[in-house]
Amino acid sequence: MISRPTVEPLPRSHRRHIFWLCLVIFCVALPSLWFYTTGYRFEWNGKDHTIVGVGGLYISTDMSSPHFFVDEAEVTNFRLFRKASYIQNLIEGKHSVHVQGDGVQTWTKDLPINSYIVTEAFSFNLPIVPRVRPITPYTTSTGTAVFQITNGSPIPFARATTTVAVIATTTKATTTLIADTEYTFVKSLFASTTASTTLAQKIVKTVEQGLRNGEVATTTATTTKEWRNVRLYEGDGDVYATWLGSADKIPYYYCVDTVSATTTASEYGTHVYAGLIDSAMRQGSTTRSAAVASIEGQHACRDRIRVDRKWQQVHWFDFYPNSTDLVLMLLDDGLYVVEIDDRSWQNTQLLYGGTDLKVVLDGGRIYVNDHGYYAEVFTSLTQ
Amino acid sequence: MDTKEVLLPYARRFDFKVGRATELTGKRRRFYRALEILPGLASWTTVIGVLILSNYAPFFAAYFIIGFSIYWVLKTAFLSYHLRYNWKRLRHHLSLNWADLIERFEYGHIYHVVILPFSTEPEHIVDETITSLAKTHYDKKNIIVVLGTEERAGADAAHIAAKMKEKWQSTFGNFLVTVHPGDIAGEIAGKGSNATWAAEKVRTEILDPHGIRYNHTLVSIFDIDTVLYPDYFNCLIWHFMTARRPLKSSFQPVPIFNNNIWEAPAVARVVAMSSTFWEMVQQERPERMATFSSHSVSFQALYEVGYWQTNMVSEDSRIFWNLYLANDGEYDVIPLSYPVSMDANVAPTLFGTMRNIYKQHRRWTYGVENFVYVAYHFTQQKKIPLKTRVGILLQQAEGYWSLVTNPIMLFVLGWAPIFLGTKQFHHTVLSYNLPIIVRDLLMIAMFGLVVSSIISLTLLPQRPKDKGRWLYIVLAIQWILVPITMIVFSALPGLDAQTRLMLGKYMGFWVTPKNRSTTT
Repeated sequence: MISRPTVEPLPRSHRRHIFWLCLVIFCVALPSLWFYTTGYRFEWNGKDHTIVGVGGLYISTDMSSPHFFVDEAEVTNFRLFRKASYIQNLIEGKHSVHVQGDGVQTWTKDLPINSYIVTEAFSFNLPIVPRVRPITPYTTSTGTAVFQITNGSPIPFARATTTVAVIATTTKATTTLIADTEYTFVKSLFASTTASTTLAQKIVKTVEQGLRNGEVATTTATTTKEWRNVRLYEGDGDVYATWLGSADKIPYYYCVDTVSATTTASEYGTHVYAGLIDSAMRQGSTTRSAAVASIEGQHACRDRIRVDRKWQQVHWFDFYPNSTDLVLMLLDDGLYVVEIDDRSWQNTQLLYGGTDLKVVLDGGRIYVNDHGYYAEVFTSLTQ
Repeated sequence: MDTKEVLLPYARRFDFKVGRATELTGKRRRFYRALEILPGLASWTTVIGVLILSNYAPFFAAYFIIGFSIYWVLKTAFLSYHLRYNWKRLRHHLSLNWADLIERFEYGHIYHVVILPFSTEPEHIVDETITSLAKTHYDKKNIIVVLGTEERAGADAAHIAAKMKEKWQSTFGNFLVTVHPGDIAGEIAGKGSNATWAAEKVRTEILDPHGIRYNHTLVSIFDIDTVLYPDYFNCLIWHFMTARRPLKSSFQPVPIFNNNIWEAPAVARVVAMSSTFWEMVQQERPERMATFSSHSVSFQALYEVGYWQTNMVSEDSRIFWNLYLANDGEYDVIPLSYPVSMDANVAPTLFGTMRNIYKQHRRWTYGVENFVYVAYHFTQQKKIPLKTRVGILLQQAEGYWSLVTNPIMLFVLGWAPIFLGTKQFHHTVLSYNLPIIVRDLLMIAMFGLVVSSIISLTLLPQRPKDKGRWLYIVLAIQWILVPITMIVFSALPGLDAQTRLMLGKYMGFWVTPKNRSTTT
C-alpha cells in the first residue's frame, strides 16, 4: 500500500530549469527576430556567408490569383494581404517585376529596391480580349439583347467577348421585341456629354479665340478632372496628374526616398529626376543648381506627372473607376488605361480597341459608343 | 470576537484589516490612496504609452511588440507545461483511495466545519451542495455544517435554510444555520462578512460548548454552488497531516467550474475552463498562490486573525494575506490538486450570461485591492525578509498588470504602429513584417490552446442524454474564442476594476446569480 501520492508536485528545480530554458530561448529569439523583421538576412548561398540587408516589394492588384515574377523567376512564397502581395528578401538594386494572369494583359515594371525599405506598386491587368455587355434598343421577351443590323454591315463588337447572350438580326420588325430602357438611358448619356469633342478640337477652338483677341495661346487647359486630391488636366496636348492633397498623404510614386544626382535618374528614369528638379524650382529654388542642392539626399516628391499618350492624340480622359492611380484615355486607336506611376515606364493597356469611339463614365461604369452601338466595357474577367 | 488578546501581535494593529484608504487618516491614508491609484495608473500608462509610442516612435514600439510576442509565446509554453503536469497530478489524485492513505494517521479528533455562505440562491443548488457533502467518504459525525444566511436575503432564504436544516441535521455531527445581520456598521454586504459571522457563531455555539479545540478543527469555506468529490476530506486530512506546519497553512483545491457546463454557452465554457486552468497552473507553483474561492484552513489560524475581513470584496484571497502578515510570513498555501466542482456562470440568455461573466470577473479582478493591502503592510511588517517582500510585490504587480495589459497589447495594440506610425516607418520592411511576425508568434502560442482543449474534454462531467455527441467537437474547437474572451472577460473587467480603485469608486460585493437545472 502506498503512503503518499506517487505523482509529486512539480519540483522547484525542474521549474527553474524550464524557466532558464525559456529565458535562453527569449535571449536568442529576440535579437534574431528583431534583425529578421528589420530586413537582415544571413547569406547561405554566397561564397561569403555574410549578413545582407534586403528590401521588399508590395504590389496591390485586383486579380484573384496573380502570378508574380521578379527578374523572370516566379515568386511563390509571397504573403497575401487583403488585396495585395508582399514579396520579401529582395537584394538591393533594380528588379524587373511582372504580374501575370490567365486571360489578362501583363503588367511589368522595373523597380529599384532598397535595403530595409518596401517599394510599393499597383499592378493592373485588363482582359486581353475586351469584355463588353452590349446595350441594345430592344431585347427579346426573355431578356436577350437584339442587334438590328443591315446586310453586309460589320457585326458590332466583333473583337470583344460579351457577357450576355446577343442576337444579331436584319429584321426591322420590333413588334415581338421589348424596348430596353437602359439603352435609352445610355443614349441620353452620350447625347448630353461633350466627350466626343476631341482635345485637338478644343485646342483649335481656344487658339482661334485667342487670336481673335490678339493673343497667342500656347498652353491651354481645356479640361480638368479632380477626384480625391488628384487633378488631371491637359497641357500642350498632354495629360498631367497633379497631387493636391497634403504632403504626408502623397502617393508613393510621386516621391523618391533618397534623391541622388548619380543614381536617381538611372534607377527611376531621367524624367523622374527632371520632374523633381522642376518641382523644386517651382517651389522656390531660383536656379537649377539650387534646386538640385535642395533635394540631394532628401526624400523628395514631384507635384505633377505626365501621363503617357503613346504619341497619339488624346480625345478624352478621366479617372479609371475608383482609382486615382490610373487614367482612362481615349486615343486614336482605342480606349486605354494608363498608370500615373512613371517610375520606369508607365504601363498602358488597351481596354477597348477601335477608332472614332466615344466614351462616357457613369457611376463607375464605362460605356462606349462604337459607331452607333453601345456597350458597357468591363475591366476584369470576373465581371 | 470579544477581545484582541487572542489575535496574533501583528493582527492587533488598528490597520490590520484596512479595506480602503478612507478607513485611514493622515499620511497612512495618503500612502494607501497612492497605492490604490498605482495599478490603474500603470495599466493605463502602458496602454496609452504603446499608442503614443506607436505614433511618435513606431520603430521602438514595433521592437517592443515583437519582444512582447516572444515573451507571450514562451509564457504560454511555460504555463501549458505547468497545466499539463497538474492535470496529470489531478488525475492521479482522483484515482487514489485517500482513505487508505490516511489510515496510518490518527485523525479522529479532527472536526471539519463547513461554512456555506448563502444569499438568494435557489434551493436545489443548496441541496445539491449539501448532498455532495453527505456523500463524501468521511465520518459525517465529525462534520459540522454551517449554512450562513443573510438577514437581508429575506424570508425565502430563511425558509430554504430551515428546510435544509430539517432535512440534513441528522446526517452530520451538527447543522447550524446562522443569520448575518444586515446592519453591522463598517461592513459591506458580501461573503466575507457572512462567513465571519458564521465562524464566530460556530465557535461560541458549538466548538466552545463542546470543548472542540480550535487546532483540531479544519474550516472549509465553500461557495454555495460547490459540489465536493467523495474523497475531499480524506485528501485534505492527508495534506494537513503531512504539511510542514499544518496550522500555518491553507489548503487549496482546484475549482472546476463544470457543474452546469453542458448548459453553458461556448463563451461561458471557455471562460470557466480558463479560470480552472489558471488555478491548475498555480497549483504547481504554490509560492505564488493565494487562496481563491473555496478552500480550507485551520480554525486556530482563522481565530488568530479574527476571521475574514468584512469590509472588502475579495475576502477569499485577502484571508491568505491576513494570515501571511500576521504570521510574519511563516504561512503557506498547500495545493491539494484535488477538484471541487462549481458552477460556470450561466444566465437564462446569452447576453445575460456575458453580462454576468463580466461582472463576476470584474469582482475577481478587483482582487487588485489585495496588492494595495500587501504593498501597504510590507512597509510595516519588517519581520518578513525584505527580499521576500520585494519578490512577492513584484510577482503581484506583474500579475495584475499583465492580466489587464497583455491581451490588449497582443490582440489590439500589436497592430498600432502600422496604423499610427509615421510615413517613414510605413515604408520599412519592419512595418510590413511586424503584423506577419506577430501573427505567426500568436499562432504558435495558440498551440497552447490545443493542450487546453484536450484537458478540458477530460474534465467534463457525464454528458446529459439530451446533448448530442457532436457537442464534443464544439467543446474542442471553442478555444478559438480565447483571444476574444481574454480581452472582453479578462482585460476589460480588470481595467474596469483597476480604474474604479484608482478613482476611489470602491466596488461592493456582487453575488453571481446561479443558474443550474435540477437534473445535473
